[in-house]
Amino acid sequence: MYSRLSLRNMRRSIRNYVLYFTTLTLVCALMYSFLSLSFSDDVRALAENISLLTNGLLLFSVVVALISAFITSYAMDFILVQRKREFATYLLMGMENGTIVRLFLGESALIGLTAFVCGTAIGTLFGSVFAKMAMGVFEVPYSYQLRFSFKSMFVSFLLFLLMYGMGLVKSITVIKRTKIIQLLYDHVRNEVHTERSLRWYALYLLFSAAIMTLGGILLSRVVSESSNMALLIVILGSVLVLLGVYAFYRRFPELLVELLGRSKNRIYRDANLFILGELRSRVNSSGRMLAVTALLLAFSLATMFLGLVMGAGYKANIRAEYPYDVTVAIDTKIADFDGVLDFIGAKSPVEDYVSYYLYRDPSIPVEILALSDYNRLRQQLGLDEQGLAGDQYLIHCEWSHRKEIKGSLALDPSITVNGKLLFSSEDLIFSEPMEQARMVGTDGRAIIVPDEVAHSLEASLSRLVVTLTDGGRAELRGELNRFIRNEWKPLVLSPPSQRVTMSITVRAWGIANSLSGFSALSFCGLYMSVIFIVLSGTVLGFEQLASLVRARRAYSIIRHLGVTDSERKGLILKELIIFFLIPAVLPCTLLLLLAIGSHKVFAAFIVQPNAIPLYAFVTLSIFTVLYGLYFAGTYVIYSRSVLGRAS
Amino acid sequence: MCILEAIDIKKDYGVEPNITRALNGLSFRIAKGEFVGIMGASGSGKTTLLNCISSIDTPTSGQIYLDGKDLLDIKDRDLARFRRENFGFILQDFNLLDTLTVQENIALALVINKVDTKKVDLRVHEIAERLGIGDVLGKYPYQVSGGQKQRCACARAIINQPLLILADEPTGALDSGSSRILMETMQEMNQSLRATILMVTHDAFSASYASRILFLRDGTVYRELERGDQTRSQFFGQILAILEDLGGYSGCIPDSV
Ligand SMILES: Nc1ncnc2c1ncn2[C@@H]1O[C@H](COP(=O)(O)OP(=O)(O)OP(=O)(O)O)[C@@H](O)[C@H]1O
Ligand SMILES: [Mg+2]
Repeated sequence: MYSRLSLRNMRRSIRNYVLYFTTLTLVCALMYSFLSLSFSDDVRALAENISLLTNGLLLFSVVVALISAFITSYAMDFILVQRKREFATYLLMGMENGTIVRLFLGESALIGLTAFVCGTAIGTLFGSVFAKMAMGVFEVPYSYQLRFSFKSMFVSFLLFLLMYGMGLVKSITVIKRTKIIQLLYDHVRNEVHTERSLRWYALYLLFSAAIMTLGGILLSRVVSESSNMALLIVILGSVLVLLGVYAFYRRFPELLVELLGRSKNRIYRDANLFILGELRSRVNSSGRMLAVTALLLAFSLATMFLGLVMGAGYKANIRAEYPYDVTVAIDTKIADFDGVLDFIGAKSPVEDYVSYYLYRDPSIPVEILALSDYNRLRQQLGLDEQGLAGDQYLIHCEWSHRKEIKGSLALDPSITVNGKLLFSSEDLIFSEPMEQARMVGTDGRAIIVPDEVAHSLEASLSRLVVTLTDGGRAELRGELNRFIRNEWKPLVLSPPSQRVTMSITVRAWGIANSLSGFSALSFCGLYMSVIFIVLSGTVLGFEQLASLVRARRAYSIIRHLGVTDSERKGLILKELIIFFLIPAVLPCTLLLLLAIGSHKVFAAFIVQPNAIPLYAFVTLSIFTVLYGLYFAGTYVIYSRSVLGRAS
Repeated sequence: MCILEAIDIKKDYGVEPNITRALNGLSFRIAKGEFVGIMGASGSGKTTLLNCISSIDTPTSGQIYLDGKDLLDIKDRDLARFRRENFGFILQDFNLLDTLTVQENIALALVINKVDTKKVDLRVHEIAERLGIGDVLGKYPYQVSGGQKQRCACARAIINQPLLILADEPTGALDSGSSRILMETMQEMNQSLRATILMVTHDAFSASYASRILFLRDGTVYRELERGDQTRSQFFGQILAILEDLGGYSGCIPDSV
């Protein structure tokens, strides 16, 4: 009989349960999806020493589990407060505390288990999307698959059991200790209003703004400080900024409400006075939650943005650094690379290759390439071929050199190569990533001249670029290195001067090794930020619903005063918009500042142009969608339950 | 002049076969400037009647005219405006917003009625002084006494000068001292501010301040009592006699009248 009673009660407060259930499900889904990502064979197989990524994810999972535990216990507290009246009624009816606990345990187990099952299902979907993203970063084609992982399910089940269990233990102690009288009055929240002077607020907010600014200044210093100090400064700066955000938000809404209350002209218009009252109560009862939410949001927006930019930077930079499958550079003139080609061909099928020289003219400080070689290289990368008139030359350089080169071209567009006068212009400057530091020039730039001019020069450096049918394997680098150093005997044509330097790159190896820390960071950033946004939305939603009892009364009072239903709907919307906007404004502003600042400083270092504005936009969009979903959900639930009961 | 006329009002709650008839063919009139009390046992339909008059609920059948206008003719979307222009409410649980100060609570009624923002403060102060709550204007409801809260509700109810003030057990949550002050306030509102008041009460003492009392039983008017030229104590005695007659009624009888 009791269980039927509790079922009916549950049905009556279905909205609270929907939010509660959704939160649990989301927590499970996120936990499972990221665990399954870090356990996934596909991801593990990408490279041996990408364990930084998997370990990082595992570590972050633990952090996330802790935060999820916090949010879970928060949600459970919320439900408990909502149900205290129900429990009080049971106690009044003569039910024993023990029976109530058993009842509570039974239904909690049911809810928790269902949430876990649903969460795992959704998480499987999430997991494959995230795995797809990971593969995207590493440029491994990945077919979209729903794959279920027992291992990650087991681990996330343990984690969930742990935090849900802790929440239950806490709830049970609360239920066991309660007496009827406490239960009956506990749902009314204490709302005490402390008054402070405007001067106090001004000083306080100035102080917190100063902390934020100090943090910002520290962060902007990082660029010039490239030593180990950099990390320390980043941490200190971030902590200061976040501390400032928290301090600011702890009091800013109060000041806002205080100021609003003073401007009679504004609050006596429409029903603004009513909204003021609603805000006042919200700020009093959940001021700290607003601050925590703002903090979480600021943190998550920054992490997501940095994560995306790093991911993109990584992807673009790795392509710039390893544009070709295999390269061999011998810094002297040799007859040919035939032996090397044979060796590579025996390991992996060769699709195409370019074997060429870099030339020197004593009067010109940079390397010179023949146009046909240059075009063959472009061909390897899928770029269009370029043509030159007999008296023209083109310049290939890194993006960051363009400005300077344009400047000197404007002064004098001509050079003399081996006695021949050649001209160039602005549209003969190219900057596609072709490895301008070694393969096309040695100094980030090279000059490309018609073949007959180049061939009249002294070849000084030998280069080989190989395109493989299957892209090659990471081990090729070691094998090739051993072969070239120990077995290969090239025919050296230039006079043996000093020691010959040489270098080898294999893209497969580079991708697997070079910047996995970067990508690990960016993934963890994404992971954390999504969770934090979901968390903030949940907290705000709960806070809003926690004020339901009061709000119902307030909205029914103004109904008596003659406010129409559609006006009341408008008021609810207004109230909710303000409530959701307050914690989001500063984090979004900070994100924009961060984006502008880092665009100014880092844009030159990131190959993909406009990566920073793009990812700032992406970050804001993801945030808006997630946050908007929570807003919409809360609005629907809240307005229905506030207006639903005509009283 | 007749302000309110109710003709043969019926109100059913619930669906077949579980129908509760809360009002059963109830008719009465209220003239301008009257202070009418409504008494009756719990469940006799008092609150239902108030809700029907104030158009918060609609009667199943019958007509209600306010100042000659048929309430049932008013379209749904105009009801809220009609309500705020013509009615003032005083309810048992004060119905104040805890989040606004006393001053703001009273101002809210003006603001909702779109009164010129510059005049709001002045009018609030005026009425508050009149009702003796001028010195608590800056406080929040939880910082003032129940009686002060209820007088604040009175101020809010009368500030728009409505045609009719509806009060549902205004003294229900007050002790006898506060009840007396509140009833004197309402008398003041009736006599010097010329408010027409319809007040539901359980309490014979409060009812004795009215000029006329309707006794409800089973959803109809069972008896009607005019105060006429009697003193308030005489009227009170008469009320008690009728209540005894009604039977099963346990009103609160204060020591002194
Ligand atoms: N929303 C409703 N649904 C069903 N029945 C109702 C509803 N509201 C009131 N009733 C019934 O109508 C009758 C009259 O109720 P009403 O609230 O008007 O009584 P009352 O005279 O105000 O009582 P009290 O003195 O206790 O406030 C009662 O029998 C009550 O049970
Ligand atoms: Mg009633």
